[in-house]
Amino acid sequence: MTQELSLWALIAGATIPVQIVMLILLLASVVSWVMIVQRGIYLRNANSNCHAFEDTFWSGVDLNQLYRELSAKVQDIGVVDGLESVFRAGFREFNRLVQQSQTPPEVVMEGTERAMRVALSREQEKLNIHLPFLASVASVSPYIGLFGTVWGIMHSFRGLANVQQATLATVAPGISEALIATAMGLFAAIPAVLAYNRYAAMAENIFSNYETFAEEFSSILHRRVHSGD
Amino acid sequence: MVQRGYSVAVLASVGLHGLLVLLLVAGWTPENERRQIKKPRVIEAQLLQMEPAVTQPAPPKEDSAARQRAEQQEREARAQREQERREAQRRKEEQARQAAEERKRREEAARRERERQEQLEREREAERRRQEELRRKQKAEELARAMAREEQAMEAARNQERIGSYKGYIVSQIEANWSRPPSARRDMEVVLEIQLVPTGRVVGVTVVESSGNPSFDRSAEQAVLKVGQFDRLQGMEPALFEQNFRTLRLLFRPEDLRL
Repeated sequence: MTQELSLWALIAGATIPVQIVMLILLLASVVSWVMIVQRGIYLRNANSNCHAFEDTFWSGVDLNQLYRELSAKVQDIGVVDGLESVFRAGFREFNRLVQQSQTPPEVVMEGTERAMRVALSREQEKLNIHLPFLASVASVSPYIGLFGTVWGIMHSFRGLANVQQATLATVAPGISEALIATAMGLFAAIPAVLAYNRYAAMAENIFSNYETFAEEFSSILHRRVHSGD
Repeated sequence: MVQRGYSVAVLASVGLHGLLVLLLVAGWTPENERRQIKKPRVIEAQLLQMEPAVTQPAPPKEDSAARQRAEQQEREARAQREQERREAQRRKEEQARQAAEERKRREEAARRERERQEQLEREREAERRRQEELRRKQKAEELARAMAREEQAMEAARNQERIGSYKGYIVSQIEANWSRPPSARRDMEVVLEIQLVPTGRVVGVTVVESSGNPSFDRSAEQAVLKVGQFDRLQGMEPALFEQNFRTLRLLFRPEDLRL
């Protein structure tokens, strides 16, 4: 009985630009939710890995042992993340430089720190991946939705001009279908804003953890290189 | 690990949107059903013709005498009714006439009142116009007076200027012809009074206040007499000359001349 007002009928009855806008917004929403879930999993894993590795590291384990374990893990699953990667880069470089017997301690430390800096910046990149996309969706999709709405309302008013007797019933379906576009835009934007803010803060936090660890690790190596001589 | 993360995420996202669309589609229609318009109960009413419920009384059946008497009575009654009716008619006409007269009188009074009001209004209007005229005239006079005053002030300023320039001219002429005596001192002052005629000629020089040094006094006197004629004074307006230059006092000091 209310066939002409069902959701599908409204979407199907919309003009082509409005339908395109709706499609874009739907895609944006789907993709941004993919990003949201993936980032959520990744960042949570990174955070727990970071804490676990720090616990292991400060439990007094032998560093050579730890390095060997990590190497075995790389052999197994092909990649290591986060603090493990920073630690591996730093320790490998340190060992290489120390084994060249006449290298002065300053050069050893410098090379180690450089290697860790490189690893750190890679890790930062990994933490921040996809966040710009979320930010774009958050800021742009309301505008796209608004564009669809304005277009739809324009269309429905233009239709109104040809009608002898203008009633609310002649415009209402058009406006209703146009407003769906805004609703979709907001639907895509709100989770994206929330997720972007949350994940940006989380990534910042984790990265500062990495940096702290790198500093501490380099101070340990520093002590070792100076006492070993 | 990264790959696994993505597949989970894609599944979650698509599932979420599918669920949402399902919810929307399911939730959309019942809301419309609830919005069924309740029809108001309508009571139909019809206008029926009202018919007078009057029944004719059955004619009385009586014998002829009685009927005659009755007829007689009837006639009398009718005559009387007729009479009354005419009476009533006359009274009504009388009343109508009186009412008409009354109305006419009232209208007359209203008209007179209105005329009086209009007259009053006209008078007031005329009065106001006169007042306005008067005020305008006053204002114009004031303006004229103010302009005249201003004119005078400007004239006076111009005169003052002209007098200043003439005096400067006189001073410079006298100074050019004045040879100060060797005995002149700085603090010496002599005041001369010079009589002039409108052609600019000097007709008399008298010492009003001597400096105490006769040679100094004489040198000043000589200077004025040596000029003899102030040519430029010829073009001056007579009134200005009479006011300022007929008799002129000059203060002589060794460093310069002062008027």
